Amino acid sequence: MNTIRSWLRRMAQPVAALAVAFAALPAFAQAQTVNAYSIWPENWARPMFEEFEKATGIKVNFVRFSSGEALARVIAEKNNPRVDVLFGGPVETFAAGIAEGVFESYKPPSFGKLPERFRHADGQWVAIADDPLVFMTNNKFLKENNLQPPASWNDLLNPAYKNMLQMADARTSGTAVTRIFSILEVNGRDENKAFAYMKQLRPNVQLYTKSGGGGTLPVGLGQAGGGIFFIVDALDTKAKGYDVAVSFPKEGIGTAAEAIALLKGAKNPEAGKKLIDWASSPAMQNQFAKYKINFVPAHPEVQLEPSLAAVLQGAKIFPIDAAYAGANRKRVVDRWIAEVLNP
Amino acid sequence: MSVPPPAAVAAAGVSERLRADPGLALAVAALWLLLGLFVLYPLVMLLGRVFIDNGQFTLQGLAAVLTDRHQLQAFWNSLLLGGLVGLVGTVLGFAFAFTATRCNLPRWIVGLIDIAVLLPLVSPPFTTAIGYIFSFGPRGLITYGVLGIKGVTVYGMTSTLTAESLTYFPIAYLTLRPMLAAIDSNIEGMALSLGASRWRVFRTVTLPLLKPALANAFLLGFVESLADFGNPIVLAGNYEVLSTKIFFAVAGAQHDPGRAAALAMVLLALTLAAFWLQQRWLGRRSYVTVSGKGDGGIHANLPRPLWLGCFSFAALWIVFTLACYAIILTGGFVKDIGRGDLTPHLGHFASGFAVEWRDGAPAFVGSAWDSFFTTVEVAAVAAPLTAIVGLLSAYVITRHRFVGRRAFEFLTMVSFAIPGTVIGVSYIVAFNVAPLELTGGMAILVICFVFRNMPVGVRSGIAALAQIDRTLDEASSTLRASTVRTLSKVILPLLRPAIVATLVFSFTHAMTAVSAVIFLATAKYNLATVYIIGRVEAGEYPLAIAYSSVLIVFMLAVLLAVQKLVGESRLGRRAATELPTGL
Repeated sequence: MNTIRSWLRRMAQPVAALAVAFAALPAFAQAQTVNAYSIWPENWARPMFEEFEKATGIKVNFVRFSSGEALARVIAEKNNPRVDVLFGGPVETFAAGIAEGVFESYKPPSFGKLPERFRHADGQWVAIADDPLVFMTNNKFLKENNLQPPASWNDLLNPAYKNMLQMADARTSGTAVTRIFSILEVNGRDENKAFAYMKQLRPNVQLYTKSGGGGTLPVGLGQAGGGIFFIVDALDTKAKGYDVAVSFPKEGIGTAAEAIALLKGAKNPEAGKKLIDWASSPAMQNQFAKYKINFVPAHPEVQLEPSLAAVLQGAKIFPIDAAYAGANRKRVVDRWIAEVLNP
Repeated sequence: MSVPPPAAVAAAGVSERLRADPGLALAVAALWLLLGLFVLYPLVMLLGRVFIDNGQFTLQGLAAVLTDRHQLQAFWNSLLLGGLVGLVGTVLGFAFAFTATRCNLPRWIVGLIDIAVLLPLVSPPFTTAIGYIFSFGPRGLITYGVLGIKGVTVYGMTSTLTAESLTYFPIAYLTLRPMLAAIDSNIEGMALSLGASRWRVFRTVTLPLLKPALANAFLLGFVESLADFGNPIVLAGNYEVLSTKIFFAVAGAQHDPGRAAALAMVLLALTLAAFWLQQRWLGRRSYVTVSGKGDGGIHANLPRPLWLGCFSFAALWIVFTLACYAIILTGGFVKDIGRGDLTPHLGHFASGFAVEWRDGAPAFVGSAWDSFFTTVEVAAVAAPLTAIVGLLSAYVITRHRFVGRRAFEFLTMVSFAIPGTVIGVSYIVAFNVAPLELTGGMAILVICFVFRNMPVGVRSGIAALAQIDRTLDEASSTLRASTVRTLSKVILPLLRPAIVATLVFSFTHAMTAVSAVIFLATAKYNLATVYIIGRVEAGEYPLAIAYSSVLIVFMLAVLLAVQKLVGESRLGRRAATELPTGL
């Protein structure tokens, strides 16, 4: 920076003004804070971080990104990380980060209590919540077409849904990847059968959205008839007063864990670890209900909020096998792009 | 900087001047350095990812992209979309520029046209696209509400073309309007008095003189469309273009930065080709219309039918635009427009922009203030810098010969052609570690905007300078004025319209851009657009709309202020005879 400035100073007048303007800009400096990229939307992340500040006195500076953007930025900055913690987002995003070597192993006190699928064996990430997929449909649309809320994957193939479904795009969204692996799972991991189903579903899909929750509002507004979303997004849409139905397929549907991780080379590692300790413990996960965040807590000691428990009652939900998904993810997504998205 | 003497005799004189004029030589050196640092260096870092694999030079990355059917399809889609946007944008921009300058309309109507045309330019990203879906989507106000059509398909090429044309034609308008205004009315008047028909004058005099401006308008529209990300991501659906492809490769679940870089190269090549074609088409002719001789400045009256046509077109447009924006902006003032709850409600503004009095001073407690102030600050610093760097580049390109002038000119265009996402990532890669550790601060946001928006300054500067007779600055330097003096006393006053255009464009672009800075914004330096997108994602449309309307009103106010401050170019017009008496 100094070399540029001394260069600039010697330059013609108008250009010198440029140097002065740059030099006058304040530098980045922080004390007793932790910096984070949040994949959770701001309206959930902000209250959590405010509670954390209340509990520990540590302020969290954060910017919100979709999972793909957050990962791209963390990787681009890996030689000099700008944040300490990557907060929220599906485990598979974290798996991709491990491949790029961006995380630092850390095992918080809750580590031993968490079920195996909620923690990385070496502590590269730990889960802070669980998030099942659901079908969400617009009630007015259902009524106009004399439909019941879909109760099977095959119900979505009904021609009444032609061009009226929105769901996430597997090129950007972890939600979509979880959905595709759910379809593989209910088809007994028979890839050809699963892809035959997805191709059959294609004419009913109006739009594959960039973010996982991108279709919730169109469904709420009736621009789309329905879609497949994470339960947090679906129940949030309902809580905002949109007339939507949430249902589950009888064949079962997948769920994805949401995680947190410390970045390698973090500038405030101690504060970052405290945030991880707090987020992976009941201290944070007990707050979900208070702020109407409909994640399923990952920590076994946290009670499921009664109304959320009522929604989930009787639903058949299975975890996505991390090893199987990790090994086949890229190939399956490529096949989805080639055969389903752009046939 | 040593400059080998060019062969041509005339050029030798210029090069001598370069040596004799240290101010000019320093300016050229400084511009080279800045371009090298903030355009070339990140680009080289980026291209390294395409051609170098494990320390070995390879063409595989590029070949993989060029042979893939889907990537090629995106290439043709981008080309077609960009060409159409350039064409439609130029035609629309010309129609409005013509109406505004040649119809002898009252000033307040011209002011209204200005505002209606500039609205899309000052709207935060996605406003057009989201407005389009709300109007023409499956449950749109027009398609479903008025026409009652069920299940329309809104996502695709046509929607994207419409939204992009609406978003970018103001740039064509900004480029064409000052050029149309500056055409010496004597030239057209002479042709008319020689008995040529109006159409013939238009075809053989006006249009040819506008060639540089038309070419620039088309080029800017074309390039803007190529790099545009906001509209296709919302509206294009399955119509894949390069910019969205690149975004998916960078930030997608596949995460393939190498492919993104290769695609960015393809995009760059497209821009280069367009740039080269433009140069070929313009050739080496003279487009000078502003010389030392004054003119009457009053253009001949248009025939009645043409005048009526222009006027009603403009009037309809104003009504249409204002109505559209009224519908969109109502959302900020009612409880929930999405669900049709139209009870008047100011709560959305309160949550974003509340101000309280605490200890006798205003406290900005609303959640939007932080990002609003940062954005204004960044845009306000970036806009004049963009104008300085851009117009100075335009000046040295058109008026001086120096080694590598073509390369220099091309370099000024490059950052425009690369999608913001790629720029954002390449800036992080280039400026994240010492000695150039800039990320995380505000400076990198400013720098990013300056070099990203600079092409508009360069293009409008070049177009404007092409109109100004060289003898004007030669006269100045014969009188022993230095380059700096010639610039400030002769060229700058004549460049006022180009300065306004650049300031307007760079300020609004800095306030509304998103794709490049989404990777450069931080918690401390968050930007309005990033905040708005957060609100949209959270489904808080009313707050997003309220914020957008604050931004639109603010930017319009600034634009009008800039226009007042910098003013129109003060061409020496001879007093017209029909001036009202008693001035």
